[in-house]
Amino acid sequence: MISRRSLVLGALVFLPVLVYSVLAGYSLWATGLLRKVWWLGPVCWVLAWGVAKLWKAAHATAEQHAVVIPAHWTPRDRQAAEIVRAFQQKVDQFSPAQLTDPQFYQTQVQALGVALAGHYHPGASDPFTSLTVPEVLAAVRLAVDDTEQWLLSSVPGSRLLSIRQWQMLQSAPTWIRRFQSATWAASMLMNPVNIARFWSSRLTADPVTTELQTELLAVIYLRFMRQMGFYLIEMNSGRLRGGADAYRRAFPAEAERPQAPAAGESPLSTAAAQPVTVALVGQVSSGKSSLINALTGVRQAAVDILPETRNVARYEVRVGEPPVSVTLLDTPGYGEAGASADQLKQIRTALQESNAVLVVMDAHSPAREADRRTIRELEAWYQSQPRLKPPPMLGVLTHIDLLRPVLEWSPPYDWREPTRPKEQSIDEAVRYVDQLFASSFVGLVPVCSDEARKRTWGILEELIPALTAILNDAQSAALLRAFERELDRGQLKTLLKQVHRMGSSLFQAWIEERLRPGHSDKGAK
Amino acid sequence: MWNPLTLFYQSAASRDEFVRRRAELLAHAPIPCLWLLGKTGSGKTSIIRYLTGASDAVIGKGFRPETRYSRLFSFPDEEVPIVRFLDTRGLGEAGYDATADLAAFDERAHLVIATVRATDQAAEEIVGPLRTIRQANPQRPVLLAVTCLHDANPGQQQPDPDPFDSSTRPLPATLPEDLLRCLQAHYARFDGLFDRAVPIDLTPAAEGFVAPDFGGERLKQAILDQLPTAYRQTLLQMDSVREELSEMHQRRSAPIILAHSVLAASAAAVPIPWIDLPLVMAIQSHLIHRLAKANEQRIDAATVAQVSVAIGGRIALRMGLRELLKFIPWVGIAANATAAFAFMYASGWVWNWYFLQVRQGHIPSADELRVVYRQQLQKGVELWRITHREPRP
Repeated sequence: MISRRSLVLGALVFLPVLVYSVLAGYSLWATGLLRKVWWLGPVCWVLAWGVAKLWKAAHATAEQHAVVIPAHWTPRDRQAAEIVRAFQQKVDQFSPAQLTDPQFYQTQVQALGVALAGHYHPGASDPFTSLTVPEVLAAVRLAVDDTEQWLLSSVPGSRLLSIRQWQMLQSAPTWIRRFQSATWAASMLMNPVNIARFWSSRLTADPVTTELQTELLAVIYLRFMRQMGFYLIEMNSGRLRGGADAYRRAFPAEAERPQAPAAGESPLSTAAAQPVTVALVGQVSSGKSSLINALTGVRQAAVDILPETRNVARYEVRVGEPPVSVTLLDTPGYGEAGASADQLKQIRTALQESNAVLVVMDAHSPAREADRRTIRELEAWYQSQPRLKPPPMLGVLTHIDLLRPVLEWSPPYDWREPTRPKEQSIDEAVRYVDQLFASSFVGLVPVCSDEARKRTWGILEELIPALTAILNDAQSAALLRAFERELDRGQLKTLLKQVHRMGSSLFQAWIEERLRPGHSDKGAK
Repeated sequence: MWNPLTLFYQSAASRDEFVRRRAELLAHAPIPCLWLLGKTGSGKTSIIRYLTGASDAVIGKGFRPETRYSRLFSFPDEEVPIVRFLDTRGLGEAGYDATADLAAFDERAHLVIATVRATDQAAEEIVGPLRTIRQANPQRPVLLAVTCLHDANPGQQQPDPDPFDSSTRPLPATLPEDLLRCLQAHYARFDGLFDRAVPIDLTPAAEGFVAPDFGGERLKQAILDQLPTAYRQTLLQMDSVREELSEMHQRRSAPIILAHSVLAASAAAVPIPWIDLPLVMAIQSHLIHRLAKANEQRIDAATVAQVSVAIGGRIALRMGLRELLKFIPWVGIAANATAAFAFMYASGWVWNWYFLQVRQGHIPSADELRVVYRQQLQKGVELWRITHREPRP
């Protein structure tokens, strides 16, 4: 509540202004000056009308209010965001009358819900049957939380608003209109010239007001659909099945995201602190182990000209600022004649476990079929796991020292603007691989990591920056995966607990039934 | 455009007859077909470049798709080739199955060259198909060409002198350790799948290696040693002609002339009298046409008649007499094949010389032409004899 003191102070400050404006109005009328400046209103309105006609409003487009895609969304969620956008784009087809009707918003949300449910659960005919009750409740709770936050932060004076006032607000436009009409009638009685002013106002100021109103309504509609779309997507993706609290803990709202409450952050579960697993895969002898040595700065992975790595090995390294703990998985190379089924399985497991993948390729050996197969297999696996976010893949071209001219090695090489023959060779090698895998790779870097011959180049210059650039993405993938795993484990635990509780009470009831006097007699009959 | 074939064949029907007969002949002519089996970038093109002297661009353009996964390069061209190279492109593709290629090439491929880079240990893609091919015909020789030796010691020149010998698995003790181990690994990996291993390093001249064709001679020798005799001779002819030619225009013409000569020899070897005479003439006019094109010269019927009369007005008569020899089996065939080979060889070089003279502004006289013809005829006979010292199987 506003204190009495503030009220008194406020009155003292504004009273003179009020008195002056009343006196000014009166003196304008009394001195007859009003007759000279009466045109001020109509002229300004006509001007406003003209300006509004010429200076087109920046349209409230669906793009401006599109769903902000959070980092943890999977490709399936991104497609769902497109559905929401399609709904938003229909805003131009709706009339202001529709946009002020609460019923209209309800039908729109229902239609959107059905469309999204159809996307996530093909064959669903209504928005909710494929969902669990806690999911729906969690979505409602999150949406209500957001509205509360929005009211508190964005609507002025909302803290003072009581329900009675809110209801009065609904009828406010009618009151204003009545008051306006009465004023106009009075002024026309006093001075017939005011009829002209009345009509000029109707013709010029009204369209401008209507336009402003339509624009405001469009923004409200777009924001509404965005909000609803966001939570419908989160709900359908299954991330709310552990409840709203678990969701908020894992994905605390960011400033630019459409939801707001900063729930109690448990530092271990947020994306920023998420440790990341990066798998290095590639054909046999493509230089994975020497790349790991170059990345960690320690000669710890065994390197040889013949295949050396037989099992998946783990190495720790900290990358970026603030440093992120990265686990590098060194895998056995593929494509070796007689590679055991166990080795292939190890590679597959390492790939499926990782949050980012470095595809290591020998730059001077152009046979890429084995890499293409591995990449396709990984992509197909992630397509069958729509709840997981595919890890970003970074292509690394090694052994660039063996590119033409082979006898030359004098880094640094500026391959992005090639002038020297070696630079041109590197550029060609990068282009060739880019052509093959552009749709799969987020980046492609040429390096040389031959430490035995003192030929290391591109690790600090190219690889570390590229790796840092994909860390965010990798962390989101890691977070989502940890979250999904946690949910599944939690669900099973809860289910077991529930079964156990139910079972024990049933058992108890059964025992009690058996022990009840007279039971055995019944059985003997 | 004037078609030299019409000199000998007036109607379209007879022209078709020539094309049909040529196809039959090509099937029987001793044109070696080498099956190159290796991943992209394992040095297959370098081997073709080294063996034929054709440029990379010509090789790239010359490949024609043969099966879904394979393509064929005929040198110097498809119509009258002297050697063929089969390249399996699909190696390593998910659906690749060597049996389809085997069905198409089992009869035609005389020798398999498996190529693998020295440091490339990912040989799974090639070992499997090679095993299938080997099983289908264990008699067909397989060479294992270990390429790009310099990868094992970056920045170093090739060992000089060449330490490799012509043994089945050359492993000189003087090699750098890394290279030695790579070779050992490859020999073990391909164990039982090859007849002889040839470590080579054919690098473009611009790379700056002292020995850009390192091991090329050994590879050529290995191919000659392993090829069936008849096919070996064709390659030998190509090799000996190529070596003594230095001039660019001759280098270009030599394979064309040789290919036609081999074809004429095959035509003459058909043990039916008279049939081959018009065919040999048709092959000759085809050769003249090709040489004119290679030398960027226009020819007309009058020129052809003039030169033909000069170099051998009675050639037809001579050929006719030799036809009778065919009634005596084997002896006749050999004599006839030699004559046809030498005749085609000599007239090819005469025409080539003629075009060269005209380009330089000199129209050779009939006497000059006759002298050149006689020289080349002698050379042709010698070339045939040198390369056919071994008795034919």
